[in-house]
Amino acid sequence: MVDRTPEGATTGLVRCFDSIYDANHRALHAYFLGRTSDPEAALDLSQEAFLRVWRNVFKLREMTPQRQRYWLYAVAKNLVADLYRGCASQKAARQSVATDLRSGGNHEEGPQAALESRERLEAVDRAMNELPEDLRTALVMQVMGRLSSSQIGEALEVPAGTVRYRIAMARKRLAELLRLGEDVGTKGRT
Amino acid sequence: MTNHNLDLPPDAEARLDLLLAEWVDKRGLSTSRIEQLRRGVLATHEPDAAPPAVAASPLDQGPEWWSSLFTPLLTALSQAATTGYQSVGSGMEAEPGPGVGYRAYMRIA
Repeated sequence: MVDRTPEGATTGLVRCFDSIYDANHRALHAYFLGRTSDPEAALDLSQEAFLRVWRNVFKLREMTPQRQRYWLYAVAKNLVADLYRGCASQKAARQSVATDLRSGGNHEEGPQAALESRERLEAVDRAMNELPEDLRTALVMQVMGRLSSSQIGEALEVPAGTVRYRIAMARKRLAELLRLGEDVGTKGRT
Repeated sequence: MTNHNLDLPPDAEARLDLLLAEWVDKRGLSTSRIEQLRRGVLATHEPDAAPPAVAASPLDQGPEWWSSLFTPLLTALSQAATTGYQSVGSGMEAEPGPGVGYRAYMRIA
C-alpha cells in the first residue's frame, strides 16, 4: 500500500476500516451468498464491497455504525445488480486477491469422511439453489451472517415479521428438498 | 434455531440444523480467509483523498460570496432585457435579434 498520509492518520483510518469490517464482514458475505447462491461470486462481491469501504473510509468514519451499515448494504445491492447485469468492470482489479483467498481451503478430514461431507454439502448447495432468492437470502443471513430478524429486515428493507416468515418457509422448503422428513419417516418404519 | 418450522418433525428439524451448521462451517469464511480478505483490501488500494480539502474550497464561501460573484452579471443581463438590447457594459455587448424578443449576446473579455 502506498502510504501518502501521515502514519498516525493512516492508523486511524485502518482502525475505522477494521471496525466496519469486523462488524459487517460475516453478515455481508452471507448476504452475497444468499443473493447469488454462488460462493465464488460471494467472495468477489465481499471483497469489492470492502474495497469501496476502504476507498470511502474518510466519509464513513464520520457516520454512525447504523449509517455505515445502510451505506454498505446500498453498495451491496448495487454490486449484486451489476453482477446480474453482467457488469465485470471491477473483476480484473480484484482477481489476484480473490484467487489467493480461494486457494486457502482446509482438508483435514480423511478421504472417506471428506467424500461424505462433500456429498452432503453439494446436496445442501443444490437445495439452496432451488430456493427462491428472497427466502434463501433471509435464511443465509440468519445462519451464516448470525443476524437477528430485525437486523436482516433492516438490511433488506422489509419488516422483521416478513423475515421470520421467509426463514420459516426457507427451512420448510429446504427440508423437503433434502428429503429430511421422508428419511425420518422411513427410519421410523424400518 | 428450533421454532422456525413447526411443521417439521423434531428429528428433521434437528437434522436440518446439523446440515446447515456443517454447510455454514464449510461455505462460510474461515478466520484465516477473513484475515486474508482484510489484508488484501488494505494492500490493494488506498483511501480516496480526505474531504477537508472540499470544506476549505473557495466554492464554499457562503451566500454573500456567491451573491458578490453573480450580482453584477445578473444586473447587466437585466439591463439588456429591459432597455432594448443596448450596450450592457465593458466586455459584453448586446444586440437585438431580428425576430426574437429577448436575447442577450455576451462576450467575456
